[in-house]
Amino acid sequence: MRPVAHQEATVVEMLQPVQLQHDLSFLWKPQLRWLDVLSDSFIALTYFLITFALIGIVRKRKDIPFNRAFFCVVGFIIACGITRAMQVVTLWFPIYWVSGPLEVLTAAISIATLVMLGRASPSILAIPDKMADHKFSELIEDAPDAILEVDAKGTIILANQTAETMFGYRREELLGSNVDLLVPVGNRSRHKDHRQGFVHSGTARVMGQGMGDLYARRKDGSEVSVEIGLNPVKTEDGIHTTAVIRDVTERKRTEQQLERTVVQLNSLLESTTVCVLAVDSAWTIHYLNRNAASLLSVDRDIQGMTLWDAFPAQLPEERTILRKVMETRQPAWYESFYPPLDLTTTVQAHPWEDGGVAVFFSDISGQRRLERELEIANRRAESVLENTNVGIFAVDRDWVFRYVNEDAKKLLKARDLLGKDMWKSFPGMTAETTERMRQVMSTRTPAGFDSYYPPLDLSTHLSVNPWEEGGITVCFSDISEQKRMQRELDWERVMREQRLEVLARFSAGIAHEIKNPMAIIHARASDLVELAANGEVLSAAVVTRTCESIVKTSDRVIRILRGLAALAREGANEPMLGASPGEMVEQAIELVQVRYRTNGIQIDSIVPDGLPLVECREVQIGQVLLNLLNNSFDAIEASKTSERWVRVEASRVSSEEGVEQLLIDVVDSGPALSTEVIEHLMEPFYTTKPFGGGIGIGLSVSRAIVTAHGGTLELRDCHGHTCFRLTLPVNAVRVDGVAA
Amino acid sequence: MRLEDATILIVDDEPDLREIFSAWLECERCTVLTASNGMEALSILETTKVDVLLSDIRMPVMDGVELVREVFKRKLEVPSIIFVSGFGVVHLREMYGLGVEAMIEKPLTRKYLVQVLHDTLKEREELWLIPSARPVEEVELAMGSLAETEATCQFQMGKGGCCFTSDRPLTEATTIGLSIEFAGDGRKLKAQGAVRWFDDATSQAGVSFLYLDSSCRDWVIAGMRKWAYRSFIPECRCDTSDVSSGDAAQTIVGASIPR
Repeated sequence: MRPVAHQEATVVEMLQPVQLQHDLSFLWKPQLRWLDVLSDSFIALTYFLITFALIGIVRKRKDIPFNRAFFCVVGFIIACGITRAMQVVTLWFPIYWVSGPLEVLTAAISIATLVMLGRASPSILAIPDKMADHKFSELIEDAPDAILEVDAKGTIILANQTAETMFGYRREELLGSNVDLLVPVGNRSRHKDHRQGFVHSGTARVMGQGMGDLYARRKDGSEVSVEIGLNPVKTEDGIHTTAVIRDVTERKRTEQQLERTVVQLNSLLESTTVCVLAVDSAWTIHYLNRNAASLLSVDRDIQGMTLWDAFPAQLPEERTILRKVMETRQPAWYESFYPPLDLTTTVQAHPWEDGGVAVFFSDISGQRRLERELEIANRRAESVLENTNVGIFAVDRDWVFRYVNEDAKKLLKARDLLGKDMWKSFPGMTAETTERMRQVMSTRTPAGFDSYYPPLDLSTHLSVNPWEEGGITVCFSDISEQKRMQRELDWERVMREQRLEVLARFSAGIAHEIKNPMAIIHARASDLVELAANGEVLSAAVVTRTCESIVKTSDRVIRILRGLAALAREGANEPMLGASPGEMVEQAIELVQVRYRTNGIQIDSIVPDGLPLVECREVQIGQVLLNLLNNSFDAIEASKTSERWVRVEASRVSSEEGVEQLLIDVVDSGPALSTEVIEHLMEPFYTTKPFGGGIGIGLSVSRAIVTAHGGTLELRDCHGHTCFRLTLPVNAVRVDGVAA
Repeated sequence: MRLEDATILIVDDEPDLREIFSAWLECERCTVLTASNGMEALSILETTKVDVLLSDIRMPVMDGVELVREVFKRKLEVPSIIFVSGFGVVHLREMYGLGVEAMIEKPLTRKYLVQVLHDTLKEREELWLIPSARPVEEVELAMGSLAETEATCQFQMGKGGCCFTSDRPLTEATTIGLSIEFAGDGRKLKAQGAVRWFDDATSQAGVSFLYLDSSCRDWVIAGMRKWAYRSFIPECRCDTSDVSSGDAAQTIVGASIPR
């Protein structure tokens, strides 16, 4: 414990006052002295700590006003602290020349503080009142508008946080300054007058009414667009004014933009060629643009009238549509006609804000007129295309009918072709016609040709032309009548040619056949002449024998000549008379006999007795039989291997309907014909014979003749042999058909 | 040969005519055979020597043309052939080539038939003695040897005429004067003939002799006999190559004799 005691002694010794003579307190007991030292030191320390605390608070709370007064108080407290500290020091070190002036300084600071407080007291006195209502103060502070209170002289006595940021001044700068500080320099003199006026009127108002936009001046000299509300407040100092200032820079800009937009929109509406008219929910016209006014021939002052009053002649249909738009709030598009002006418009009616309707419309009268004229022109063109007996139709690239005129419908015996496929609508078109049409479609080169449409037995001349967008047009005229006449002429020609051909074919044989008997007659007669000339006596037997031979041979010639005459006759105009089938067969065989015999072909006929007479043109049927025999001859001659015979068989049958018929079959030993040959055999000019072997008209002509007699001519296959069967009604029905 | 020594075959499908012709010829005391068609005639010709074949053209089974073709083909001894035609188209060039000597038309008298048969049966020495008064045209040609022209079909001889390549078109059924010099043989044919056929395409002509000049008569007749020609007038048909080698013939332009 010693060392410790020693140390304590040392500290005490150090703290021993050296000169205490000048202070009565030295006479105090040491305990008292220590009490004094400790309390003074503590008080001094507390002064300093308070100072730091205050400074810290002030630094953190910017809103605390009266900084100068505050600093004076702080200085005063520090000075007091220092004075206390000096009192402790002087206990041990009598530096009274130091402590004395410090106390004087302290006194000076305290006086200054007093003066300061004295001066600030009115303001300070005012603060506690407002601050008392803490909520109110917060309200002001946080208000979005700047709030100032100005006394009667114009001095700012209250300003909130927003005012600081709005004007760029700190609150201390604002408080106590004249409010003119915030008025743009150019307006300050007037502002003073206005302010005075306001104070005298004593009623709340919005500042700057009728003066245009208001601007406030910021500390940096820039100006902000503001709105200011003024309110007088009566106080003991007279009438104060609270001003609520709102920064409207942003709103002004928006307004300006809006205005510009409206102007643009307006000019747009005015300059557009579209007419615009808007009505509100009560059908009052709110707007119509210049175009609308001019198109509808009205002044723009109809704005304010109802639509119904302004346009009494509007058609009810249109009104119905507009009402519907109004009710349903759904837009509508329609075409309108306004009779008083003969005006056709295309209209879009849209629901408009506040329950109204905006109508946009444009004049299409010209367009409609053109269309009407075009339609008339089209109708005229169509009427030209109609009733011409020329069928016209157009198909598109997919062969779908796009246009069909009346004549085409008539000729084709079809209705409702539009939109239908041509090939499906008219199957059975010949391969040639099909091919030619397809060619025009693909090559885009026009073509004209004759065509035959079998299902309708229609012969036409077609003119096929490429049509826009890949289709074709087809114009056709009915040439069936023409063709029929042509056919008849052809038949006649063919008949004539055939007779000539038959004559030519038989002429050699016939001449031979005639020359032979003529040679016999000539020889017999000349023998007699010679004998007589020589003066020989002719016995009756010789003369008889010779002359009998001459007569017999002459008969032969006459028979041949009769057959020839029949062959040479037209036949077509002869009356239908009863003819014996047997005679007809015999006569035909007679004509070919020589040729057959010469070529070693056996010809037989089987004609039973008692066949009825057949009503027919004998010559024509004879020609048919002759044709058939010629065909058989050619067929046998063409075949190197076949047997060589022809058989003609006549018989009578009763058809299913009970009609009595005569059948004449011409069967030959030639090879059976192929199906292809059979198909074409009856066509004119079809021939199986090599070139020069005949012109192939026989069978078609024969068939035409038989058909005209009400009979048939068919090709049959009889046990591998060719057989033509000629069927004739025994009592012919008179058929006026092909003039064969 | 005299008619009464001759054997004559009559072919006709007309019995009355066969009967009449037979009667006429039997009056001339010649031997008469008959057939009703070519086939029958052919079988007779194969077994019997016939001097004259008198045939109809149009007949059943086998006609006259087919008959002479067969005779030629079978290399039978060819008699003088006379066609008796009614009416018909025959190819003259072929017919003369096959040995047909004459064609007569029906109807015909006994005298005419007998005359024709007489002429046909004459020896060559009796023929071609009298020149025609005035041929319508004179043809003069120059050629190589006879053998050469035979091979190239430029000139060929038959038993009653010749065929040759002419230097000008000739009209059928006209009489021409013909003078052909065969340089290779040092011979010259001088004759008159009737143009029986003319081929425009090849400019070939078939001519039957009417007169042979005495300067050439001997060697021509000797040649005919020596070569025993089968054709009356040859057809002058050679291969195309031979025909085109006609350059060998030097054609002398003969003076046309004005009508």
